[in-house]
Amino acid sequence: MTGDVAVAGRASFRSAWSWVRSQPTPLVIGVVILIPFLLMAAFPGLLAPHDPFKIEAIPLQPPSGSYLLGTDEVGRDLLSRCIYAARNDLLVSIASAAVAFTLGVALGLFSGYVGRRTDTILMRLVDVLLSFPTIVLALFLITIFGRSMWVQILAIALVMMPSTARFSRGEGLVLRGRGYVEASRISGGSRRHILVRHVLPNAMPTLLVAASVLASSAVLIAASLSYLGLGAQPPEPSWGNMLRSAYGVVFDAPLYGIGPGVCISLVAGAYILIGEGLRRKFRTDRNVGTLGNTVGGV
Amino acid sequence: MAGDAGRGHLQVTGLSVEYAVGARRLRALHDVSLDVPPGHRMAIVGESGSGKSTLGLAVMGLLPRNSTVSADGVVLDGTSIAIGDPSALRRVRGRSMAMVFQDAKASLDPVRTIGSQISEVLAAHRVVPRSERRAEVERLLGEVEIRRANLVARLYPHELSGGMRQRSMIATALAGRPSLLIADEPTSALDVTTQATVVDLLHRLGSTGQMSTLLITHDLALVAGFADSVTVMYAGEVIETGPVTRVYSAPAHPYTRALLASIPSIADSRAATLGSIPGSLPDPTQPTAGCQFEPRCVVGNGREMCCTVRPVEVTVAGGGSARCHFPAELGAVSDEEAKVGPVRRAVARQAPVVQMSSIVKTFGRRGLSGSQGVTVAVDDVDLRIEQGESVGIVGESGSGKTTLARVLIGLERADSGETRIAVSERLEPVQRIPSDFAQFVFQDPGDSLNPLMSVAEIIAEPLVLRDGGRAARYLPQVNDLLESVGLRSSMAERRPLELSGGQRQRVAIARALSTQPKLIIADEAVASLDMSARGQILNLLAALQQQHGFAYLYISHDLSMVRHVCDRVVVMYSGRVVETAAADSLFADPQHPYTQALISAVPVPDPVVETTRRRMLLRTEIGDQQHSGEGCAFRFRCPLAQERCHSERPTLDAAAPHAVACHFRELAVESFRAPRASEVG
Amino acid sequence: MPSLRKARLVGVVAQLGQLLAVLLAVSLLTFILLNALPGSAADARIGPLPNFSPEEREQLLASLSKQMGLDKPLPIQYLIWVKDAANGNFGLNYQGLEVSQVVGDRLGPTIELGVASILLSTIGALIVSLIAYRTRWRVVRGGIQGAVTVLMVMPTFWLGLLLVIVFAAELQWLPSAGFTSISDDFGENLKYLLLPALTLALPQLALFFRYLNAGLRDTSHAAFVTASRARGLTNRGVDYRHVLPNAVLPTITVVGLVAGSLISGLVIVESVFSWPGLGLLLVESVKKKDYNTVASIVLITAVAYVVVAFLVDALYRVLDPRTRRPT
Repeated sequence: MTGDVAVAGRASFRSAWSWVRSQPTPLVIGVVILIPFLLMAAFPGLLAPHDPFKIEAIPLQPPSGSYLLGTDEVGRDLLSRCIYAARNDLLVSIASAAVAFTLGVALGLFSGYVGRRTDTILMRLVDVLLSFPTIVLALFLITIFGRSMWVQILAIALVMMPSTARFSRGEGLVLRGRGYVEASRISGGSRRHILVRHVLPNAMPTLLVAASVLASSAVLIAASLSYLGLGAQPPEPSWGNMLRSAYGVVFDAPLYGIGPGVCISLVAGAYILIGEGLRRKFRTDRNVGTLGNTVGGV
Repeated sequence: MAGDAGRGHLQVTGLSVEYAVGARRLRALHDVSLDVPPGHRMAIVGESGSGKSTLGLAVMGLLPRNSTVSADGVVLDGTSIAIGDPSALRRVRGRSMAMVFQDAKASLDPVRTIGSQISEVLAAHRVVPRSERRAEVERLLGEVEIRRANLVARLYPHELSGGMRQRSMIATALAGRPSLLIADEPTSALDVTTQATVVDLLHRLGSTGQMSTLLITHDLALVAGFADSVTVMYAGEVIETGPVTRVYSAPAHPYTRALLASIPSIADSRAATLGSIPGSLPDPTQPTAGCQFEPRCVVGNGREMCCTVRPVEVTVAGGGSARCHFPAELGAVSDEEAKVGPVRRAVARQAPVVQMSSIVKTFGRRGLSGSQGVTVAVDDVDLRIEQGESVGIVGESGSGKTTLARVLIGLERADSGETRIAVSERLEPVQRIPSDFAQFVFQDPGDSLNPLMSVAEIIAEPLVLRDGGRAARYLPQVNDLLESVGLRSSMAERRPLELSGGQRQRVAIARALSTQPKLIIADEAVASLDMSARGQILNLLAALQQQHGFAYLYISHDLSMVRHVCDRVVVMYSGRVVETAAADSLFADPQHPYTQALISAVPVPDPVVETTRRRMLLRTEIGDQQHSGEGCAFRFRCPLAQERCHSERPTLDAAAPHAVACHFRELAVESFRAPRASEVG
Repeated sequence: MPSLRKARLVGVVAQLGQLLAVLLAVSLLTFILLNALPGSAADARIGPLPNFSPEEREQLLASLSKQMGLDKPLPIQYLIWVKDAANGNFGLNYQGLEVSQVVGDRLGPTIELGVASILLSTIGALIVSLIAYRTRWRVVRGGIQGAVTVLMVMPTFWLGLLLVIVFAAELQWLPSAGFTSISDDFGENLKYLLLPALTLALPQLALFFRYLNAGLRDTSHAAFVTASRARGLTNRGVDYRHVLPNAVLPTITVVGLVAGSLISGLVIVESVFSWPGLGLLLVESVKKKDYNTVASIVLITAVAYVVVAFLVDALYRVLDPRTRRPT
């Protein structure tokens, strides 16, 4: 019996492994990179070797056996601070990407599919929002509404929303001309039926790729805001504000910034890899680069 | 060069090409041999997947990187061409041999002028000294019958009409004074009247003896009037070759015969169902040892010899050869399967199902610049479709035929005009035609079926939208519909991507039938299908009509097909109806000069007819002029145009059985019967 | 063809009209956001004033509000604000200085840094993408692509930090931060410019490279490329005469977008390198809640974006014959 279970277990492991192997490589790599960060965000207390808020060692130590990434300017463990920062950074990036995606896709697909005057008006509005450069708009919003995390999320989302809408509108326009959409219109399909049954499902692969680009941009924007001192407030750690501190002591502790810098790059890179993997998986060739660039200008 | 013997003697022996796709090897060409005598015009014909284009690219050395090519020899005018040596090939390309591609718009660099693209060939091969290049460019443009060459040389490709672009591309090919010209589907993207002039040009260029021409095409009718000899390809192999008259009159291979039977001819009215070839191309990754055509062959299907042994070339009486084990048996099975075709409807008028009157549809908007940018797609058109009738609308691209159909079905809203439909014996005006009154079959089934839905969901969608519920509720209807379009009910769970092109179009037809409409509009419904599948779909449509008695509106640029399936034909030009009549009457006695030109431009798949046929060729100048409201739409291209045609718009007598919108109807009739010598093809 | 010229002129006029409309909308939005702020502009001007009693402060506030025109209805305020802004008058900053003066002083360095980075990134991207496209060695192509991917996911400020560590802290070739005016000492100015410009340019280079690379790859599959090879052109001839000009076109739009929204990068880079430009001023003003200054910078950058987009459109029309004349 136990043997059977073992065999079955091994077989299911093997089939799971072969399923993983059949996925596009970038997707697998991206997910593998992201998993530790998700764990850090979920269980920072379990993973961090030290208390991230406690001053417990000589400041600005280089990496050593007990402090793997060294210590910061007041003597806190950098590795633990990096781990604790994951929650804030991941939450902000994912939440703002999700908000931007939902609003942008809804607005864009609708606008593109409906076309005519609705489209013209909506897109002019989007143009106006687009002409405020990313960080500037976010900064402006934070000046006005304060520095809480939710303002940060909404500000980043609002900044990314117009280009998402632009992009989804393109999809809507393309799909509007598809034969199956027209066939459905001929048979009396309502706007709602067509958007839900035909347009959205067929746009989804491309939009998912776009979503991962959004998440990646959100990580970078969030880090930039923290860097400027407008994100998470000390002593709460975030990768951006850690890098800011690192800059002040660059001549004394050149290795200070490695940890948070690598974290930001890995997370942003993981999202991009996932996007690239999804693109290969769905074989959508639409270039989502414009999206990344207009929202990512940091 | 080659002296008296002329130039362009191409000998290809044992040419094979494989593509590596992922881990699989795909056989594109297998042991192909050709012998094109100097100054000869040879056509390579085959369906998509036959390897005909690969053949052209292989000879030119232009295959993509994932290909492996091997050959016993490729020899042009006694000089061996090193098929594996890129730099040697480059020197020969454009110089000894040149190529013309299908899509001239995509094959010319959009950001360089025509002149510079010709002149760079002159420079690359040092054909003429630098100082003479400009003159040579103009000479070449003149050679391809482009007038005002010095103006055209300064234009960009997008500023030219399709025909002019294709001529310009031919000029770039001629620039190196090649001895072999390979033309890969050079006219498939062109309108039929333009196609005729381009084929004419290629024919003339190929008649000097200084160059041989290889015409690669799927269009058997086109070949008939063009080529000296024809080579038929199937699944990467040459299966038959011979003089064009012999191949067309006495095809020796079952495939050639079936292919010839599957194409409608504009010269015959509909008498029989079209021939069709069951099955589809073999899997190119798993070629069999035997004859590649065996699974679809009426003669050899299942025979051990055909399954296991590759046929050798056997010489055929009358010239040429064929790769078939049993060429002698082909005569025996001949025409037994020819059934009775669609019945010609009685001429007596029936009650109309649809009546469109004075439809006008424009695109673009009037902005600051006035009416500029506004295109009149449909300009005051009446259309009447009777019960159980098949009406065909023909015309070239831009004639407004598709727009008219889209207005009828409600995909576009007309600017003005009225559509009335028969509701219990009476005609009543409607805003939008109901989905159970009319349905639409699109050109490209790959596009008109949602790739994420199952066949059953697709077919049931009109019913779901009309009667509510879920798709599963309509499974019995779906099964009936599948059966009526000749698909097994097991197809219901498939997705469109798992089906062949012909099967997808059957699904689209089943969807159109689901609401039991009185009218089905078929917009180029077979244009995207391969030749052998076209016949099947047309036969199916005819059979369904006999069974259900609905009316068809066929939108098509293919006059041969329309002649085969339609009772009545409407000819459109530039948004207007120029002539309408019963099909037989229209094709036998076309009266509008445009209709005459159109019909005379359509090639007939019969070499004997083609050699004696006379063409009325229409010329186009730079860009096609848009007509304005005044006068006849056709006046800029009409050989008969006079003062009156510019000022007064000809009317169409809707009541006449054969209505023509032309001021000089009598003259027009004459011009067709006695074409001027200068315009003879 | 006079009608053609007329049509083109009408097109330009229509575009200018659209441009104006977008500008107005931008200013309106800025104004609305500005007025959504808690507390009035006069309140911010006065500050806490510990030596005044609440009543005295109220009085002062009222008179200042009147002086600043804050007692008028909002639409009127907007019109006055737009009129003043159009005349280059953005009011006073929190220190009571003319905003236009303060902002004007920062424009020069910002433009210098922005132009330098765009030049570096476009030229660099062109060279690198051509190397990647034409090289026979897959290692080179792979290496370039890897480096570009890393640059794409690196936050600008970390990249700046790394450059400072290498070139300022370790090698000590360049200063880590600061500024010397170009009119004072050109050589010094360049020294200070190099690191920030590079920091700003490298991510842009990566982005442009991706576009150029995709453009080159797509164009190399185009039918006209096969066709020109069929005419016997050399690979070099095909690449430079046909592939490159077509591949560059889509990238131009992206360069325009980036140039138009350069301020986003400048905000970070100027903060990192203490470069006295608009970006640094913006961050400082945001932290000090200096609304007038923030609003003026927001407006200026939005105008810059719209104008650059307009210019890029015009450039595109010059370079792509298809957009030049009607088909």
